[in-house]
Amino acid sequence: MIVANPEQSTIDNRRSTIAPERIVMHVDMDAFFASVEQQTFPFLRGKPIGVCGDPDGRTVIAAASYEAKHRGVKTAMTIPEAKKLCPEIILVAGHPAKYVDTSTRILALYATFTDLVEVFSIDEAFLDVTQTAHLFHGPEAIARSIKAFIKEHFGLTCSVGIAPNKLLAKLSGEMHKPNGLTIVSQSEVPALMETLTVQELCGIGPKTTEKLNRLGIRTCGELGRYPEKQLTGIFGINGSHLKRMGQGLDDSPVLPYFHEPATKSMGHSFTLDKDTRDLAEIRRHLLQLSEQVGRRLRKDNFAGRTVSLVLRYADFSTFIKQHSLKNYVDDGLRIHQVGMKLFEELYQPPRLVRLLGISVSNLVRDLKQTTAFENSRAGSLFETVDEVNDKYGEFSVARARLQERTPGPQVISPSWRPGAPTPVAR
Amino acid sequence: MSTSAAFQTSFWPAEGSPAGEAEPEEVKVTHHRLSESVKVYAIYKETGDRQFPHDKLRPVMFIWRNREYRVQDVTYVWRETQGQAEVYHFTVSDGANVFELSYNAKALDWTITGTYSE
Repeated sequence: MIVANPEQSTIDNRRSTIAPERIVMHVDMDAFFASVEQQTFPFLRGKPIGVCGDPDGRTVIAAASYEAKHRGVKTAMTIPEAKKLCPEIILVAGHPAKYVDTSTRILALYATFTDLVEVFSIDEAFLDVTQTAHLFHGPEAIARSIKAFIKEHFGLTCSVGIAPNKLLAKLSGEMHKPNGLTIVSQSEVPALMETLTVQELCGIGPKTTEKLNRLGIRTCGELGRYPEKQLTGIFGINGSHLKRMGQGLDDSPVLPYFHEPATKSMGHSFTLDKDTRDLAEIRRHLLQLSEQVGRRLRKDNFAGRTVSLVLRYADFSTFIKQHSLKNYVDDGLRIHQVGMKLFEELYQPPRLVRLLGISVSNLVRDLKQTTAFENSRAGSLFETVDEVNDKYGEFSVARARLQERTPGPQVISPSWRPGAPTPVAR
Repeated sequence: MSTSAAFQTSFWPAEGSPAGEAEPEEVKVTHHRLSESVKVYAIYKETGDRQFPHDKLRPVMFIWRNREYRVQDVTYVWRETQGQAEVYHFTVSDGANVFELSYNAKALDWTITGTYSE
């Protein structure tokens, strides 16, 4: 394994070290949201900060700066928990539009090195540079170029792992953070796996770790040597996969955005500012969520048949109910009607409601003008309203009942993907 | 709630536990939200080796409420779409304070949208 000094080039060695294996690169932005805010506001640099939704609201830490991480603050901690560990933590309201734009520009940079760019999350991506690395003086040179560009344009750092597959690239990228550059060749894999614990592998969570530990498996090496039959007996089909992971094997391809699986559902959920049992308020929130879902469906030319409602009470007990329609819908009001029906079936008065969510699944695309489609487009009304909102912004034209709609919430879908990246000149 | 990625959950996840605890004194970023027209002097660079449109425009000075501010540093630039308009946001520092200036590339106008301080 080579831990390259980000400041010093070792290009000549690297190319010979890992060719002719697959060359997969994992790029992870360091403390992405927090670093963007520290770059934006110079007075935050070098200080422990936590990015959250509304610092006065009921959110958790979405990202912590390295200064806060060193004090034990972690993503998804509640604000009181974070303050207990780090009383001087500075809470900053996040700016999703800023992060989305930054991420989109960084992905455009990746696309100048290879068309095989898989977006893993808003701040992580895989690049398969097997076929293109030689054009750019090898994978290490690509990594250095990416790091230099990101530093110059955004003032941010990233950590890069280069390895023969995605599993090892992510693993190696996470071994030296922040601002790391780690290269692992196939010949180094067996020794590396002996030293790593199973929970360090992407995809092995606390529950699986616990089960493996009970079998006496603690390191990846032990997992790789464990009889496959016994693993499949416990973990089912995943047993074989786990064994391969323990051996550092992963054949999964780097899937560019244009090969990603089709969208299965679309939905929105919202944590209310205050718990409520006010039905008028609940109805309004559900209408707003339904209109947002309808708008997204129409934007991407989808319609769906199954409407699901999520209802969470103040004590965090959560219920989900769904209803399938005979025909496909993309109309926010129709989605709302079904959602309200589901709510009435689920709701146990006078319990306080904390969170509401609506989603539509069983999706089909480009299903216009067929008998299976509900005649809900009401002439060209939706097209007109959508056109106005495209031009002037969301909810420029909306149902009167939504005049008092809740601003936001600020959302980035977990399945957020950029549009087709436009490569930039480097 | 289901953890299915199907849901576009609130970007800022809700607390995992309702239990609150005594909170120490908070340090926060103070943000004054504004929406005022502002006169901005900017440098427009049509060509360059970097092709992000963000890089073409750089505010260097602005006049707000009859006071002149010289931009010492453009700390961050990002773009968002508002309807059909592309809006470029610049956070700039005059050495003492941080301001957010927004340029609407469709209406060709500048707005000061916020001031920030610790």
